[in-house]
Amino acid sequence: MTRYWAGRILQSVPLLFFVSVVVFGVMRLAPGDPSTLLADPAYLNDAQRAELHRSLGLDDPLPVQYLRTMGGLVSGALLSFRTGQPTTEMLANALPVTAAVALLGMALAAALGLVAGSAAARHPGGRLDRALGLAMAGAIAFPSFVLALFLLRIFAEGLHLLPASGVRPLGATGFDPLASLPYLALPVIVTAFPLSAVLARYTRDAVREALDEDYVRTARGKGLAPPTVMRRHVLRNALVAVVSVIGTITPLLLGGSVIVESLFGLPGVGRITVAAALQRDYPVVMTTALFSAVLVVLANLVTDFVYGLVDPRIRLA
Amino acid sequence: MAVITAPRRRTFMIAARPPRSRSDLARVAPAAALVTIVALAVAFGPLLVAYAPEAQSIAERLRAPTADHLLGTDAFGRDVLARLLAGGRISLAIGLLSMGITVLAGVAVGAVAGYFGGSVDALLMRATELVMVFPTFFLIILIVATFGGSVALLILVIGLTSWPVSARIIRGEVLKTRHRDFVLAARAVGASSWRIIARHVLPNVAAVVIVSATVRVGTNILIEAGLSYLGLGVQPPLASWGNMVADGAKVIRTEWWLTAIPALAIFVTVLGFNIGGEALRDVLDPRRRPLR
Repeated sequence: MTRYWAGRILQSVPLLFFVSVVVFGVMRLAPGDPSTLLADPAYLNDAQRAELHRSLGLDDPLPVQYLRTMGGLVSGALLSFRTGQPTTEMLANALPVTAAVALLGMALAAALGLVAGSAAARHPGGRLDRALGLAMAGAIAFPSFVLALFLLRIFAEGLHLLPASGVRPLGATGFDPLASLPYLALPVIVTAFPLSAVLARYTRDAVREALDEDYVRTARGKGLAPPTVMRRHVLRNALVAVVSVIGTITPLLLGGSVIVESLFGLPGVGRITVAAALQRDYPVVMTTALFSAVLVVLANLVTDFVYGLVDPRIRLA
Repeated sequence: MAVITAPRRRTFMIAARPPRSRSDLARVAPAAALVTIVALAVAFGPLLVAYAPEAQSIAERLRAPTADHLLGTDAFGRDVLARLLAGGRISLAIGLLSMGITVLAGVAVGAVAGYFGGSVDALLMRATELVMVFPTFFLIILIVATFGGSVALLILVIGLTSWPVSARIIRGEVLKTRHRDFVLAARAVGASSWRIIARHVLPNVAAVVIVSATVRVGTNILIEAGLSYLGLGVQPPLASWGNMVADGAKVIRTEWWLTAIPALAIFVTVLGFNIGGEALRDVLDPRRRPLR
């Protein structure tokens, strides 16, 4: 068992190496010189520009730059071009906000999706199934930034129920999850909206399939109450499929966080990444990109692990 | 000596398909109609609108819909209908062309990996996994923010980041097909591997390809809209539905329809492609026909 997981973790090392090389390559092929974006070129003479260039380490051969970047990333000594702050520190500051929105959004979506999906599966082709099917198709096709715009207009500006942007009350510092809850409500809803439809679909199909299994007929045949059959025999088996979907979707929420964070003015990972890419702040981009890749790899590992817990038949080692 | 040539006819297995019923057509028709209307509107609509999508007129800014400007004008006095149709051309072009790249790459990789198997398969699938480690939307944003949003780049980036999923689906289908009798028969009469893939294997995988391609168009239009909304995609003054929503959002308190109109266009088009794809799956792929 331990050997199996050790092997899986070792396998991800070349994957992460590949990601780092591609991200490094993309940034270096990019037009625009970081030194001209840090200081107005009109106020720099050639000597000063060359000095700035040198101090950022942009004159060294590319392999040297790559190794220094990666080494700095591991030791935490990699500094942002723009702020001079350690990039790992910037990531650590931004992460709680992004993680809170993503995880709460996923939890809300999973709850809604499981309820709607299993309700729809009960009478396939029935009125509720068709209505929910239509609602799911609509929710997936609706652009989340439009939903966010209208929710902001209604709840923040119209009814003054919820704050429109930011993550903390005026004057507060740090990230206090409880005080931030009202600030996270709209971002969480916007994140959960399309997700819940996707999860509802998978749940519906999985429950549908489980309902046709022999063991369900047996359970019914021996006279178990329908809710018991649903809970113990159907949902428990359908859960395997749903868990795998949740596992693969979760790291993708980092991509969606860019839209949500810029709409609601949240200082999260998505926003610092876009800002860094636009400003050619290579160290920050490398940090967040590798972090997101680690997240994907990790999510795959965790999904396989949870598989084993949810379904004891799946023995991985 | 008799020369045996491969039969000209291609084999197309119609496994256990129930007779095509009227309900098949009824299932695809609404989505097909929706997509056709949108396609015709953006193809020919611009010829019927008197205004150029980029023509500004400060004197006529933020007009409500009138007979003159059917959908009103935006903050620069540009005709909203003209921009909606022009933006639709760009959004649809990006959605369709990027889907084309996805499908071409997915079919090529999936068919070769699935048909030849062995080390070719292993190599191609490892490569596919490498691309899949990148969180797609994150990578797209990174590249577009770095190189600037041009329509060609958007098509390329969206297309080239989404093929691994297609490749995996197609590989799975090819694996199921390659040991079928008609493939063995074609091989027995001396057809080359490429000929077998093109004439015998791919036609049988077509249903799955068409279904995933249709849904892909909708997804890609949503990606483009999101990028353009963020200001990373199609750059103004060029219109796209995403950047029209971004423009409209600045005056959402008063002229809410400037946000709602392009948003509705995105919604209707994506919905058309999505339910179209699902209806096609029900019709073309009887194994996954919804259980009733």
